[in-house]
Amino acid sequence: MSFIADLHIHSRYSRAVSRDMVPESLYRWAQLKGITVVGTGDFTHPAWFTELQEKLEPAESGLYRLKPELAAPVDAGIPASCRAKVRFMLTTEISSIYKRHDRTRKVHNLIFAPSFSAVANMTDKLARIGNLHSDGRPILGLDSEELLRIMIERAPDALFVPAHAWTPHFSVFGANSGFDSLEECFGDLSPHIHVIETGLSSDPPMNWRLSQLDGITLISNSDAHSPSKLGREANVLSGDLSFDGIKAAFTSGDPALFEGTIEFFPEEGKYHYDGHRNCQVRLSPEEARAHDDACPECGKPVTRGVMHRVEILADQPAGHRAQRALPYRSLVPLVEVRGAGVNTKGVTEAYHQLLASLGNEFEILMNVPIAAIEENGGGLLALAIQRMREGNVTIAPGYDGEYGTVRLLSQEDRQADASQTSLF
Amino acid sequence: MNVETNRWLEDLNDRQREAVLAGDGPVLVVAGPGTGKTKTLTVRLAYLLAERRIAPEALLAVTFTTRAAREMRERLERLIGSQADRVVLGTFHGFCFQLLKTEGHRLDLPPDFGVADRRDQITIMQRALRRVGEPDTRTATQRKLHEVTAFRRRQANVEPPVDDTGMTEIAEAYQRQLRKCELLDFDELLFLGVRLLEGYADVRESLQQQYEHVLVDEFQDVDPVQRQLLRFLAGDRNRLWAVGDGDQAIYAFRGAESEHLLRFEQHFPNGRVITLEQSYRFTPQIAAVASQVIRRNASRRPVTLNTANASGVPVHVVSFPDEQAEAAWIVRQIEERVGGTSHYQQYRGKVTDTVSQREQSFRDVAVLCRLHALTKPLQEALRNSGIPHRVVGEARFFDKAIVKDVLAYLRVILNPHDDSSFAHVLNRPPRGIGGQTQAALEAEAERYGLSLYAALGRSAVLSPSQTRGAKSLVQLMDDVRKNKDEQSLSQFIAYVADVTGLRQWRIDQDPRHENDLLLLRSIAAKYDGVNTGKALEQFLEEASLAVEVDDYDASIDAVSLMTIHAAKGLEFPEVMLCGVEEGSLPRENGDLEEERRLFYVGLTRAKERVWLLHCRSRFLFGERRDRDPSRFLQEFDESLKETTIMPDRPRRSKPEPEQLSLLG
Repeated sequence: MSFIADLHIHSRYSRAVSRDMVPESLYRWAQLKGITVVGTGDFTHPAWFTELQEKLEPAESGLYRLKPELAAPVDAGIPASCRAKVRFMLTTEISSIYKRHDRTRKVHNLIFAPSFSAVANMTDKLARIGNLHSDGRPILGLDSEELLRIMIERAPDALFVPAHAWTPHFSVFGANSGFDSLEECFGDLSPHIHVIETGLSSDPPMNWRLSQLDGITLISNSDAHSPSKLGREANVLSGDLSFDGIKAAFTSGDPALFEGTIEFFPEEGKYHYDGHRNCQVRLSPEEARAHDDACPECGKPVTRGVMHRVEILADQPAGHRAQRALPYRSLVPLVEVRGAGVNTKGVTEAYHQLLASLGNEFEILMNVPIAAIEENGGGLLALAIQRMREGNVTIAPGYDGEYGTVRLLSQEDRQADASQTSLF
Repeated sequence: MNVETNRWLEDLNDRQREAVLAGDGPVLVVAGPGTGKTKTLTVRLAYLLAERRIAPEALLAVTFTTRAAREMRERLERLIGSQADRVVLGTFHGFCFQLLKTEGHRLDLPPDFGVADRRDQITIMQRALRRVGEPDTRTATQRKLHEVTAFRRRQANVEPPVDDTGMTEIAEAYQRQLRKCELLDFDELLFLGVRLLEGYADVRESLQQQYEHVLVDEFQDVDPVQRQLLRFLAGDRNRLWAVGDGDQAIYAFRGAESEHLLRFEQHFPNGRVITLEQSYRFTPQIAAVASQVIRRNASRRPVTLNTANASGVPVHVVSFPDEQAEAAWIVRQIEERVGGTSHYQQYRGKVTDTVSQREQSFRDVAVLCRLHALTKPLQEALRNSGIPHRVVGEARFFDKAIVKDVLAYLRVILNPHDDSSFAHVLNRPPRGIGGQTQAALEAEAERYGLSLYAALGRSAVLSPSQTRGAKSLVQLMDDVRKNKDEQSLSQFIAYVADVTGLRQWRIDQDPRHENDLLLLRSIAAKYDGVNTGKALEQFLEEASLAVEVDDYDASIDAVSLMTIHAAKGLEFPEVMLCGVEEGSLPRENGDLEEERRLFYVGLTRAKERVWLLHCRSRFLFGERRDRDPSRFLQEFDESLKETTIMPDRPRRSKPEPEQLSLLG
């Protein structure tokens, strides 16, 4: 049985995160999306950790579930078509800001932990290093290598994963604050890195172009700051539903355990292309080079995007397929498929109706027959999902913190469909 | 000269070399900030060892903080290797402690005496005050402590006499209580050290014989008692080599007398003075500002800083409407320095991060204040921002609740008659012995001339259940004492915390106590392998003499927040000096020259950049007041500074109540 895992999210105790990021909402939305294992995020935050200890109970080895008395009222509001079991994995993200090799580095790393006691062992130490109270994703003046060492010493069974490895400002390969290799970042401990998270702005083929990542498994998570963003990216696993099972799938990259990832179209990510947001200037890597990496409007340096950064570090031609390459699928969130009015009341209602009739969102996006979608959601939606499944999309890439836009339907499609009133 | 020595000397500038090679003394090296004071001192030690063939045990080097002593020893080790361990190198207090441990019996000191920390001093003074029938409130107690300290200094003939009516009784009562607990306080360590050397010629002479050279760091901070001590140690040969900087003398309030630095030639007519003026620390701009300001002080030696460092930026003066604006700006600046701390900031355009070759991180910035109280709004702003920071010299680690508890237990184990410690542990965790009972118990012990510990066993004031509780504690302490050699010190600490019920009791109050206990054990772990009884003694000595302990790992990248006093001896690429206002720098009623020296010390901590911040209005000590910029801001050339004035906050009508988000 395969299942989907999304392990990088944030709780309401992190900056700029929805108040609604609480265990009950995660439980609800994981079912609506079709996610079996959801990360808790923010396990270093004392209040969130206490809340998790109060609301969760042990389930399969290393995983937790919402206590039945809390789950029952949530289940009552979930359509039967979506109801499924949900497990929590204890995860966190730590922002390390520090100097290494005379430059300031800003790297985000994820830690997945197998138990409350493993978490407590680590936070004991981390609490002495910095302030864990002010942010669910704490900033520590701690070298990534030292953070990894603390994890190895204090919770040897946990898993360490550099987060969204390519974003320019806060990642291991980031153009503005990262490194050129995992060795440069993690030193002697780099053999302990088996897994990296690709982030929204890069997809597996981009990563395959670096031979240094040949032995590394690529995973994907949503980094959701609100419940409805869960599963924007995720992992499809088929091994044992347990902490060790998931860890084994990730560290081995064995296709028998890890079926592959669900991705954004990388162009949709906020840092795919180069550019300067204030001037609304978007540049491909070639264009940026032609302008000496300066904004053609104001002359300030552009923010170098992931695409460009990958090209700089790549030692394999585009199209090269890594040994460990796993399958992946690029999806567009259901509410964005039609390309209009994402947050309107009408769309929200239509979304939930569709789920009630067809099943969870991943099912609809990936598996439900087009005919059934047409019957329940209208011809335009069916057309859009078909195009998405075929990869037939028009994209304006994201840049400098601005999301890219993906278009599945043209003006003509809409006009042809003007008679229909479906909200999707 | 051998090759090694030549290499060290080549590494010095002419003046530094002159200082190293100077004759036996007396020598005064006047060393401005960043001129290589510690380097010169350590090379001098190395030179005496390697070239002049002085035995390491014959070299005595004293300084003021354990931090400075540690740094010196490390540097020396790098120069000459393991010989460095045998050089007698430490603080004045540490030196006296050792001296009194071996020779204190001549002054009838108990061999197991401990050192009273601030907490002990307060409880002991309180007891003394009760005895003589004076009020023992906390403020009164602190004031009396202060007065007794001054009184004893005068008694030691180091300060001019004043009317001391009534002081003798209190001072004697305090002293008696201290001694009953087999404790000495910090001042007594020095007084008794001096008394010993003064009164016992054999001790004095043997030390003078032993120490062929006496080196002193931070000479400007030496107080009259310490000066006497040095005189006894250096003897008639006067092989004294002192380094200091009168412009950095900021401890007048502790009794330091930097004048002896001015009068060096009078004290030592054959003395030699060498001045180090070339600074390696800061930009010419910072050197110029600092020199221009300090030149206004009348009582100083003429030192003019110069530097060959590359030109930098002007010092930046920023004026704020109030302390909130100042704190917010500092947070913004730090975020800007590291190019933002979150995606959210970048997205909101709050910071820019297009520079990919940034070299500044949190550890490169220090925020300094004249008064600790000025750091409060800033601490809050930094805490809210999540920026890693450390407040240096605030809560001493050894003052944390569970740490104090454990140390008190350990002292009782080592010396059951340490009443102050015993009183501390008696009802921690609660054993049904309240404050009144405890007072009755103390009175009873006093009446029979017994220690609390001894009195407990035969007390008439305890109820039967209290007696059981008290006896079981005495029994427990006796058992624990017997078991101490069976485990390492760090294990022993865990064991004590467990069997006394202390650990569980504290953790139930706040789980963070567990961290403190863990950290205490890790500090103690360095004594593992040593016989536990011995380790216990050394550990308690370390704890009582520690002025500061690195509670944080030095490898942690964090902004430092501290007072100017605490920053002495440190340097940072960027320094933000906040509260540069009349009333706080200079302080009201402060000695203007001393205040100017503080400003100078603050300025000269910076290597590359200085920000001088002042608020036009500040809430401090319970009231909001308008503030004028410090006069010191006018004491250097306009051309050396750049000024930014942040506008007043726009006056707003009452903020609208936040919309209720029942539907959110």
